[in-house]
Amino acid sequence: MNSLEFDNVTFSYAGAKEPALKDINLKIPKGQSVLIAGPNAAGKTTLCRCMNGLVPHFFIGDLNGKVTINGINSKQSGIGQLSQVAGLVFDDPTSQLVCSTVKDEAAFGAENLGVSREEIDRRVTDALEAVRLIGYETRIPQTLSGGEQQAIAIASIMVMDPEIFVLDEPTSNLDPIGSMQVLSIISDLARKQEKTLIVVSHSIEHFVDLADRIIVMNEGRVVLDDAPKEVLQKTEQLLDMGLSPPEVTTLFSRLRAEGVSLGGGKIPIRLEEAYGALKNVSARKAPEPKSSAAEKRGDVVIEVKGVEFRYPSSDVLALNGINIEIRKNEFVAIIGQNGSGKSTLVKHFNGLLRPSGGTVSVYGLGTAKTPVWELSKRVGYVFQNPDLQLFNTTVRNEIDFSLKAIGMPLEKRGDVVESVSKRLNIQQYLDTSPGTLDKGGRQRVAIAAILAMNPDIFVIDEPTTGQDPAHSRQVMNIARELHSEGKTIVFITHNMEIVAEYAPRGIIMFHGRVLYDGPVRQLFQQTEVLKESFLEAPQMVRLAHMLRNQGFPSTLLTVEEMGEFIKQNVG
Amino acid sequence: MGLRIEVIPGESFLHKLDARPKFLLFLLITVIVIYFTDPIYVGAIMLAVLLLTRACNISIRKTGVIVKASSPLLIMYGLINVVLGPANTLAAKTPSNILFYLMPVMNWFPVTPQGIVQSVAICIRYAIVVYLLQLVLFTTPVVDIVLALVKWKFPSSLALGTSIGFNFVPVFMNTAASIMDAQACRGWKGLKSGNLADRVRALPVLLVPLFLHGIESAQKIAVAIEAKGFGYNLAKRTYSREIRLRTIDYVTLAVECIIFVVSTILYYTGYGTYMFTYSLLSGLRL
Repeated sequence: MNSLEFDNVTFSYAGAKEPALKDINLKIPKGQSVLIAGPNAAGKTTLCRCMNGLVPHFFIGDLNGKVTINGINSKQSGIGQLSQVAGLVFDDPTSQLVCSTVKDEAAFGAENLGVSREEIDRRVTDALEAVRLIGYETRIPQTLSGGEQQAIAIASIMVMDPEIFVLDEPTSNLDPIGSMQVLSIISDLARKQEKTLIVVSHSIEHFVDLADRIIVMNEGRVVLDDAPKEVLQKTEQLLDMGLSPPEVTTLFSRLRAEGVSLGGGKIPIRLEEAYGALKNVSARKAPEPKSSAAEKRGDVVIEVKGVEFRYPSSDVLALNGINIEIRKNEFVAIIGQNGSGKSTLVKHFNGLLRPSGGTVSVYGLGTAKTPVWELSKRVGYVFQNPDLQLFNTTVRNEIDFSLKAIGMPLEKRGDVVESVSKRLNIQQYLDTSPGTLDKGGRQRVAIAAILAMNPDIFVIDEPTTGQDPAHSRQVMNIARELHSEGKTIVFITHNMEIVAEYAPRGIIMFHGRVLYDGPVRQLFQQTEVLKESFLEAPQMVRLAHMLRNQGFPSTLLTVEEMGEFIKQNVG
Repeated sequence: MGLRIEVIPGESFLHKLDARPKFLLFLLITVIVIYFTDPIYVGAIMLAVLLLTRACNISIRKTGVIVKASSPLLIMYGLINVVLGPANTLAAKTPSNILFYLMPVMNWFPVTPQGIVQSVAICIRYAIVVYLLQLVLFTTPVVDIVLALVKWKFPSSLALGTSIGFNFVPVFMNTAASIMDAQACRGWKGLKSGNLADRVRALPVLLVPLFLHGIESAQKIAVAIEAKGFGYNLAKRTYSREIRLRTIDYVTLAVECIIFVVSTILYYTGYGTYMFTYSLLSGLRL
């Protein structure tokens, strides 16, 4: 029997002009593991909501066609009944945990279904064991790490014992350790093949091993649906949609398009396959690639000297003896796990936090005594979530707010608002409410509000976490443009491909200390440091490492560099 | 600063006590401090509550944070009671009782020793109730409060709603802090600068995003609990945690009953009014 069947399903949310799902036809057999990929607004989340009756029972609208869940027609059953058949895990860990201990949280769903107390106890123990949280029973879920929280969310679904697990971007809000933790739980689930597993994710590379099948959605439709190997052959189509196929796949697809033949057959989709295809070639000797910006040395704009910081409620140092200089027109990536001190550090750059020991100076100005609004003229801080900032009725007022706040005279402000909005391509929305824009648009408004103050330094906090790849790149490309105009950029990210692609300099934070500070090209050579801080180099770097004996420089960073190298020096 | 809802882990008497007798203890003490208007009586109750805290290995300072934080309010309340409290009004009718006038020339607002004595009792009474509520929250997991509510036939959805609300207070506080940071980065000078009008005007900068974020999280929570079958069949819902009254609870309930009966008798026979301390004081003076 099929676990899930979609027959000609079209769904529009109540009040929406466009359907969110159009003509969906799918049959997913029991025990299959499916990866669903697609750009923003492709309909992935709506598809998930159909799989347990949230659509149409919670999210009402116009549902045409038939969704059959384990033999039950979703229209003719309630969410309560369907929740016993299909369990959902969402992307945001904190807003799906509602109880005050891990054990209660795990039991919550089963309690709702009226499972007996003894049976719940048994299932909770099994589930906590499966997600490796034995010993956490009495901890408070809200105080745990993102990865642990997501593990509890999965455990609480296991306790309900459904046939189908639907995980909607389970790792997109997590740090690398958390992602690994959750990924290994999901792999266990997939390996057993007892349950049907649906995972929505942008991280194709990480899920390609456990997926039996990839479904690609775009604009409400299923555009590709096949085994991973087949779907990933259409690399260009995926890239056009703004998706990120594994780097090895992109590399081989580009080389093939340019007529470089590295053996026939299918394009590799895994690192090992790519290595297999290249291990018998040998490269001519070539000079080591150089870091582009390493030789340029501008004036020091931010100086962090012996900084210590302790949060009031805590007894550990969040920052422990930090010494960093940031020079004019640098482009710096700060990486590390959550809790390593990245945000704590950059919040010192504009006075949001003041050091407990040591000094931070910005353009020679000590941050300890300068108010944040004064420093914000020099250091612009772009927050991860634009919705924490937008409160005005029009985009114009939103941008104008910062200008008014720093005391710019009225006659100048109009011009600045115009030019900034043109720059970020939101001039057509100046008189509309920011709330009506999509997330990318709202992020541009928030950036415009910072850009308007014309700071010299931009701090960008996690532009990649919880975002689809196209959106992350949009923000990073704005940063790159500002950098080319002479601005200094500091950004925090968990995405190592973005680090390799954009930043010449990288800083690794670990337990409140700087573990590495130097060129990114060398950063990814520090195998021990990476291992210690649980970070993984991008696939291209790992491939270059594997091919060292074939004459490949191990310092190649990106698909472009690897492609260029192969074209010049192989064959 | 609001009530802290975290539980301080421990194995003490209060921790072991079922939520129901613990609630009743809170209600009982609230009732008897209303009975008694004498500083020595309520002071003795306060002392007993403090001893209980110590016996349970909980920091008195930590528990008393809200009492301390609200002390300006408490002093104001006390002063108002000195002048307008029933004891003062009654005593002021006899001119010999009057110590002085708050507004001497006009001879307005007389102050009497009786008024002062009663007002001290009223302040201690307020402090006891606030302190005790925090003490109960420090030793009772929210789930147990929910279970107690359910046993008392509160609707399950209401009881669980309360629990979810409690659990989200810290999350909400974090969001508010992030919003203030994010707005400060746009040159916002915060809620603490400028005159009153400026401060009022600064409010939407925090409140609008907080409100919108609140709605968004509320919807996410609703979806999450709905997806876990909440509301499927509330009447048949099981509670994996069981609360059952044990010997310690029955003994406590019995003691509570005795205290209630004794204090009620004391109250109706006229004990525990401010006259007790007042006569002691006048005795000393004479």
